[in-house]
Amino acid sequence: MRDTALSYDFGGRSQRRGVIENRLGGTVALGTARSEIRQALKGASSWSQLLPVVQGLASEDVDGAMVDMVHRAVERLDGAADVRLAYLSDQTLDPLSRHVAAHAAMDGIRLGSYVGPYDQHFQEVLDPASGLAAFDPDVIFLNLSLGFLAPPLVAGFLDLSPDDRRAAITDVISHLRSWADAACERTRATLIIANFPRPLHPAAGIADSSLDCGEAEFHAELNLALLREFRSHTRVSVLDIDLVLARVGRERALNPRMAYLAKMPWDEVALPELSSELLRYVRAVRGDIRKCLVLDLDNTLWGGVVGEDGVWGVRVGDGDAESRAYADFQRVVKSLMRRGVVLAVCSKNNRDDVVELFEAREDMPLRWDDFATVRINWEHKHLNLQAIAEELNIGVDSLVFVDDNPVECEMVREMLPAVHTILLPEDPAVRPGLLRGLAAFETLRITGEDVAKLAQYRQNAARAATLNQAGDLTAFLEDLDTRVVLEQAAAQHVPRVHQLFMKTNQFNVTTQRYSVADVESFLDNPDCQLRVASVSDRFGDLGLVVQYLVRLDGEVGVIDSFLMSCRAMGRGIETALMNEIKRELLDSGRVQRLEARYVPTRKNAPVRTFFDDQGFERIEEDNEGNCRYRLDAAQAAGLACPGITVEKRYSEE
Amino acid sequence: MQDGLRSAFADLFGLDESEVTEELTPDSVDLWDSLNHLRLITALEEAFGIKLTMAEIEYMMGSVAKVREVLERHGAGQ
Repeated sequence: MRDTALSYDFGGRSQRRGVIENRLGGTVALGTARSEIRQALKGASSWSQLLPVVQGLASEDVDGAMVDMVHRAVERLDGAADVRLAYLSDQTLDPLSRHVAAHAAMDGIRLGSYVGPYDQHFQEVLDPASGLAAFDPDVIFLNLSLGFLAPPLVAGFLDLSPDDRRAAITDVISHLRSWADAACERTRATLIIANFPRPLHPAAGIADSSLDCGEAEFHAELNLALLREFRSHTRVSVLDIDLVLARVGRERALNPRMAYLAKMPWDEVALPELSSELLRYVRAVRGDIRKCLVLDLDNTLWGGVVGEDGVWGVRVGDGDAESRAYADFQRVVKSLMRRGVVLAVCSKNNRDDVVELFEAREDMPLRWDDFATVRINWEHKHLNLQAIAEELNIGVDSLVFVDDNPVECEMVREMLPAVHTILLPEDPAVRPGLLRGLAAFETLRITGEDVAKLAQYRQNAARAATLNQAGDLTAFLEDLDTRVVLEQAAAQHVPRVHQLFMKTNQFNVTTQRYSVADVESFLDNPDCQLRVASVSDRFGDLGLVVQYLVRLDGEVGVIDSFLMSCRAMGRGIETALMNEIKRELLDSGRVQRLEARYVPTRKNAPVRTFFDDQGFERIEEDNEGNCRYRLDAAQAAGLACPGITVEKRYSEE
Repeated sequence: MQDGLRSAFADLFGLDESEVTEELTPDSVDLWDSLNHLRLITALEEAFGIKLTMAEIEYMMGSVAKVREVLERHGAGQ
């Protein structure tokens, strides 16, 4: 059951490696049972039947024919996909789309695919009757070759003057820009634009470096211009396909025979890596992102056992090769923290030894204060992982757990399958690279809230400690002095607002997920009140943590969404904001009544009685727990919320 | 060899071996597209230790009989 580097690419489906449970309930060994897998794939008539079959496949068993089988099985199913990904290109991308769909299924994502006709990326977005328009993609991948965009460059690079080459860069970028503008206007998709791989050998040979705008310079400038053009664009990301091909090996990844015979630029050997890269974007667009990295200590953060080898005996720092590898591993952990991943420790150890080690070993990149929470004891790890999730107020399915011990990993996988458990390979040399390549924490952009997250979790710990001292909740809340700044959402809030829509699971009454395009459309719509609230208290700043969307429909205000980050829960902010909604809409006579819904999910039990608590009347409940509420102006009353001050920074129309 | 070609063909193109006849063409087999054709070529090259030219590969995308004809020319048909 030991993981290989390859299997990390596709997330947490390693639990059942080696066997699959077929739909009859029996288990069959892989390799000997290709035809049985085929039968199981063919027989699966629903996503829930298909999922255990595909998740049981080990990545080394997934060759081209297997990819096609899985892809066909997914396409055969009725019902809606989780995410729809469209491909537009001047080249053959069908094989890539099949690989992506198959790997997505192995990762638990039901992906719908659409491959547009050659060379028609503009027509597809502009024509309301196009296949793309009917498909209504969540994500569009645009991959155009230089041979298509600028034929003279490829036909005879050296025939062009340096100025012509530079002009070609401007032309290519402006072509892509106008396509992106059109696609943003006509679709609601997130756009992924591939950059341009360099030729394996420059036309001028080693003299290329002496040329004014030689091929190396040209490609560097072109790809740089592409990055800069879209860097701050909220709906466009640039996919570094040149880098992905380099990871596979460009010589292997490019197959001229495929290119000439099938207009397909890449060898099949490159498609798993390309799929894995595209799925990082798909997951980020879906908001399928883990939040917390939980680390073992001995033989994970350092070599050796602190209880036996002593504070100065464990291997980490500038010493020997192994020490340097462990130090690098810590540096990668630290960079994950810098991009917003919350760190925690879960270790069987003596706490005093560990505290002493962190104090003494200043040559370690990680510091004790970098961890939002620490569980060092002799309890079972799955119990500690549960406690960590509870303390941070997140689900166990937001955790990634890293350990070097196969038994510990197996036990966590067994007891808490929702945790993404990673068993480290034995060689410390390969571990830093493995952690850098981890797909579980990918986000499209890093917001200010991400960077400040650790400080906020630590402040939460301080708040909890104060509550323990104070004992009396009302006195504690008054002492906390919570300040809420309420604003009308505007363009600068879009990345954070989108992130909250995608990531908030617990305090979320309808769990409506909205794309960036949806969020942008709310800003301009006079019938949509999208309000955002930033919170601070005497311990610090929590950032933008609450938002709600009210749709005005004549005499009715419909509460479409009301959600709050878990770190702001439990102090009555929701009541203060609901008071504002009642006042602004009902008391003013703007609408006659409010309507609201509660849509139950596996995670939003904390808000099950939210509207009841706020004085709404429950007018309907079905047997799945979906509730509808209303509140008439005559019944509306503000509720007490001690210790909270709301400052409004917008004018009511 | 007959069984080898048949089973490789059946696996790649999602057919039962009994369905693989000499008359099959890309038009009559849904999955016989250029990618799967190249997968078939790679499998045959590896299985028989031969190297096919682009012209042969294009010719073979005509029918099962044409695939067999080229293989026999390489002495791989027996």
